[in-house]
Amino acid sequence: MERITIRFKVNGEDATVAVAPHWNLLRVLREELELTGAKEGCGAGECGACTVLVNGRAVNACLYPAVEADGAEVTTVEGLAGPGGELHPIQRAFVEKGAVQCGFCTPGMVLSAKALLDRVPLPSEEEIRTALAGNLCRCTGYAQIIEAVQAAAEELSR
Amino acid sequence: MSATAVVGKAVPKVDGAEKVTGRTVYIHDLKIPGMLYGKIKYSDRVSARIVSIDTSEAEKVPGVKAVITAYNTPEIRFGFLKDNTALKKDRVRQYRDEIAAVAATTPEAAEEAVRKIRVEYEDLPAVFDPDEALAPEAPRVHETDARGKPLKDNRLRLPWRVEAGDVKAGEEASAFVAEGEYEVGWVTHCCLGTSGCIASFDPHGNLTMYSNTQIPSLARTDYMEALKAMGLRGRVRVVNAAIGGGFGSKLDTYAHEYIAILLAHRTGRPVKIVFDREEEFFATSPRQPVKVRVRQGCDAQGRLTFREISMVLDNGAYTSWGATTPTVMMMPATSLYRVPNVRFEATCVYTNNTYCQAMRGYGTPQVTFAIECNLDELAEKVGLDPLEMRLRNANEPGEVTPQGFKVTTCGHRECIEEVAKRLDWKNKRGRAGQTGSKRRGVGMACLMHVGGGAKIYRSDGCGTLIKVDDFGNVDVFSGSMDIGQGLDTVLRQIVAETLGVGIERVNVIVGDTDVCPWDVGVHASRSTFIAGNSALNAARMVRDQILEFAGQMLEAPPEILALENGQVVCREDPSKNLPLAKVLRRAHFAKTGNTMFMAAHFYEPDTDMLEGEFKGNYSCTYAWGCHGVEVEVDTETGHVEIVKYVAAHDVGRAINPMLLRGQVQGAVMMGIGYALSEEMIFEQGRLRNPNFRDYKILTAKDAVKVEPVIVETEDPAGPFGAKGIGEPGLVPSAPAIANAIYDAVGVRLNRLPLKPERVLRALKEREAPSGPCGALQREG
Amino acid sequence: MAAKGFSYHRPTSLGEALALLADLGPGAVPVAGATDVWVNLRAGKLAPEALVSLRNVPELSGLRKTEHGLVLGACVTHAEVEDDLWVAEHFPALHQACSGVGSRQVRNVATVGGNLCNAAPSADSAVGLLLYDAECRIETGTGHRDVPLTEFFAGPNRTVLGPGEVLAEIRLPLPAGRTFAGYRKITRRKAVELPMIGIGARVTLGTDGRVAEARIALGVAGPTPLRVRKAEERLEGEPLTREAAAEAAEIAAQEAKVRDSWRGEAWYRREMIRVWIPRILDEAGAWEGREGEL
Repeated sequence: MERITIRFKVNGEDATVAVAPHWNLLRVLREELELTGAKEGCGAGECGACTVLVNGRAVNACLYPAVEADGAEVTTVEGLAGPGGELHPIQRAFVEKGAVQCGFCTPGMVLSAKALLDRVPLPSEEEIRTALAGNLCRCTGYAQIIEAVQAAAEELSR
Repeated sequence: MSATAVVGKAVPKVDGAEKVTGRTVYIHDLKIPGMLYGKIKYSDRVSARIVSIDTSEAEKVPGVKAVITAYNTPEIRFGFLKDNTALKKDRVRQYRDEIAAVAATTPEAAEEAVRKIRVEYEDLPAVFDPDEALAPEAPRVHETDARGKPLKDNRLRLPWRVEAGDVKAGEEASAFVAEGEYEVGWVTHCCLGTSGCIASFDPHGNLTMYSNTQIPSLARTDYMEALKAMGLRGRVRVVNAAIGGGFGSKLDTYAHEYIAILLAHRTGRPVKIVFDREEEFFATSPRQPVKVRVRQGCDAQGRLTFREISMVLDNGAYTSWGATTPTVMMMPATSLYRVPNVRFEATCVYTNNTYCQAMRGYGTPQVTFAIECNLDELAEKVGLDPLEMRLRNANEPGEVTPQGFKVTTCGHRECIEEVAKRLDWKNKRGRAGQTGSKRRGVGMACLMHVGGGAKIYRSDGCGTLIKVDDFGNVDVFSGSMDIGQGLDTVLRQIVAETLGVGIERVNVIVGDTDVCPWDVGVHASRSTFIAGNSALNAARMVRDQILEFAGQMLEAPPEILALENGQVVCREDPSKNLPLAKVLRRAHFAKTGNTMFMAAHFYEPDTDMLEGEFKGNYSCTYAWGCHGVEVEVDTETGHVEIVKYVAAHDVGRAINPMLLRGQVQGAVMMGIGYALSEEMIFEQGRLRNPNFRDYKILTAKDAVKVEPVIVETEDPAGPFGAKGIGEPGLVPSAPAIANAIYDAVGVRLNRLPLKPERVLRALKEREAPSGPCGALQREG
Repeated sequence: MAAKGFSYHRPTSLGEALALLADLGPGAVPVAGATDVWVNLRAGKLAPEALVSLRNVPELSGLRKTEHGLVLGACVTHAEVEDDLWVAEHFPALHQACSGVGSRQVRNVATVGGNLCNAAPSADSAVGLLLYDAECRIETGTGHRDVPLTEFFAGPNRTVLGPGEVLAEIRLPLPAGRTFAGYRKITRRKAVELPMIGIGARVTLGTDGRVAEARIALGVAGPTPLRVRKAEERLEGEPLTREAAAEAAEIAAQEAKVRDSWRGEAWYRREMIRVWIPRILDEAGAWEGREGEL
């Protein structure tokens, strides 16, 4: 099978992977690089469980052709915590505000929140809801997730 | 309320850090060396005879290690009535029927092989409507039962009937009677993490199932039976990966699990089957559709005199544990509000639709929709405010309901009052003079649920083992599971409180049947209560052992000693206080009589399993609640916007208010989806919307901020006074919203979901009742 | 995983892209954000020999604002439109249409040109663009041709693009005069939805205060996104009154070729056209402070 070698940065580190044209970025991250934080929830861009950042923008890795990651900077949930393992303020807020239940949507949710706060440091509640709308959660009913993003925004803006 | 150090505190979920960093391992993330990937070939027909299955092309796909069908594997029967088989032989009865399966070295090879399996069918008649299925001439979904005994119709032989008091006399004594028919369709769990498992045999024929089941102990029994059917004598171990959502979907064992076992055994390699989203929608079992007929009456003052409920449930083609949901529907049917004379009857019917299962609420959302909508209709006949109607009939502590439920603590009345107060009910209800297209209204509905376990199985118990090391670290092995609800955290709080140590000292181990004691499963909102009591009792035993030993060390009677803040504390002489670790090491490394502290407790609640007449007390305590909602209905579009939502729950005591709020908020949003947006659309047995685009669970943009009201009644039977709260939050959402819509615009909707088209149609038909679509006729 | 067996090409100039498409022949499919293409590949609905990615073609990117209007590179993403305040001010209906597509993750990669080329009857952005008389510039390999968006769609999921042709730009003139416009998609929930019916309206007043230009466009009301000329004609040349808007809405509702499907009932789709055309204009401020004038 034809393979194309792509070179990109994942969480700040260089990665080189020979990918098949039909692979998506999610497969490269999960299967080739063993970064299993991004989940496949639907495979059709409808649930957001596979959300990662490509050049700072939130995308569904399940719909992102692996080839297109060539030259990109990719951030996965594994890349958010600090060097000593201390949680990113968004991650900490999710834990402390009760925004995590089964956790399957959490990595994607955290990354959507990060993409938003990088773009809009102090978003309105409506902006938060809009940014997270593509991340489905069946456990929490979203309220504590929204509050966690608000708390993280305040902390990051201090 | 007794003073506590960690119970009652908003302790963050203990696995939160792992989950936010993406380190948690779900079944999707788990790989075992040598593992193969399994894939299932489902039926292309809804009802047909299998004429032949050709797997020859599939077998030729590179990487394929096995292709199995019912014709080359032993028959594994499963399900509540054992009417289902892992692979179907001769006959298919629903589109999701499993005909063959493949194990291959890659998922792609398995998929390709499945595509190459050719099946020849001979179509048979099918039946999709439960009422039609009950007709004598209806096509038979099953010709025989599991034992081969002929079945004369599609009615399931399940005795779901209860009667108490004298319904006829009750009706005769009634001044008012309301009667109605209510209909609810299919909805499904939508766990973000799909179903899956890995089956792995060791060289001795022992099976390890890596699973995401909610019932490790019962699943183990089921898998053991499967091994027996395969002629194997190995042991079974069930190990749970993290669970990406349960909600009742994993309360039973399913064909894909048995298929993984068959493939693993055939190939001698571990086999993983994980559903994709489409399979998760069409090949897992949804909540049952139900048609409910309710009649209830009251005297001139609005006091309920009788209630009669009959219903037909669409069971689908096979029978899961979900077929027992009527035994729980009986509870609100007979006992929500004080009703002296009650009758309940449920008929489960085979159809060629997908077979159904349990889902959060276990039948009570369906029946509560009917009861609570109908109660508003009755109140209107009496001329009573629905609030007043509810207060007049609210359940009270100390009553024994006609079905025999012993109501101990009961915050029903308080929940209703809280909702009325916070919703400003008196001012908001029946607002006259609203103009424009947007009209507001308020509605409420109550709930009753099991709050102290539910004896649906022969045992409703849970075991706990606790051991303490030399430093005061505590390991708690519980039979229960965390499925995201926070059991891991709640057990830590209970044990830490009892042993007087910080919660960081307590480690909870769940989800491994080789290590953990038996538990009936994570269902019935029972885990905090049952697993909590089990852990509490085991912790008390350990505490008593420690204090006994410390008493000897300190020459003090154990009664004046306590465990607090990592110390053995002497209440009468603080100078005698000792660090706990010192006591533990002294016991372990003594010159003689060395000991370490550990205890095991199996907690079985003192409740009745209902059979025969279905009378008795199947839960140690009951959970009560009331939801109130203010809606704004757009009379031109039928759109219903929720303006305010108050959820008051009698929770006994909140062990962890933050996690509790998460349970209520999450359940209410699921309930709002049930009410307004979610529906599985089946056409001739085929699911049309097996994806998140077309099956509409609500998003963050739709999220309603629920105002939770925690009513604490401190149940004496609960751990630190707690009752269950996992399910109650979604039970009354739909009727509360339907009642609010009526208050706003004066139309009653008896069918879920209350989608804009239905609301608008009802409004149009009221304006122009003549045509089938009233004013809409003009479009010709 | 998507269907396999295709090659993947990443040209970095328009010339290279056109040459590749010419060389690879009809088995090659141009792809931009890939959000539709990838789903179709996975579902087995699409089995191309080659994908030619237009994502890295600079000539197709960028959003240019001039005094005459807006030029959207075909590969401008929905999020770029969503985040652009100038577009929100001058082309509010397009802004609303693009902001409501899928989720932020989808909008970050899905392109406006891709949405048009996918040619779904439900395409939100197409309805928004139809309101503003969008014109499509098509690069043919030997030159270019300009096609009004009204003539771009050839049927469900079909366009007038020939083999080897690429949609390069979408050009929108600035409405001349006081304009009220908006787009509303009717959905069960508030995000991650296709419209059950998509409704757009624009009215631009002339110096005489009468309606100089009216545009009514609909999605899921026929085989392609479409304009309802009869409804527009009802408004043009007249003062903009509520009665006129209601009548135009009624005409649009009658003209719409809506269907019954499990996704929605025809009568309801029709009814929403009736209700929402006047509402869209109302929400855009068409009658704000003008009640006295009418």
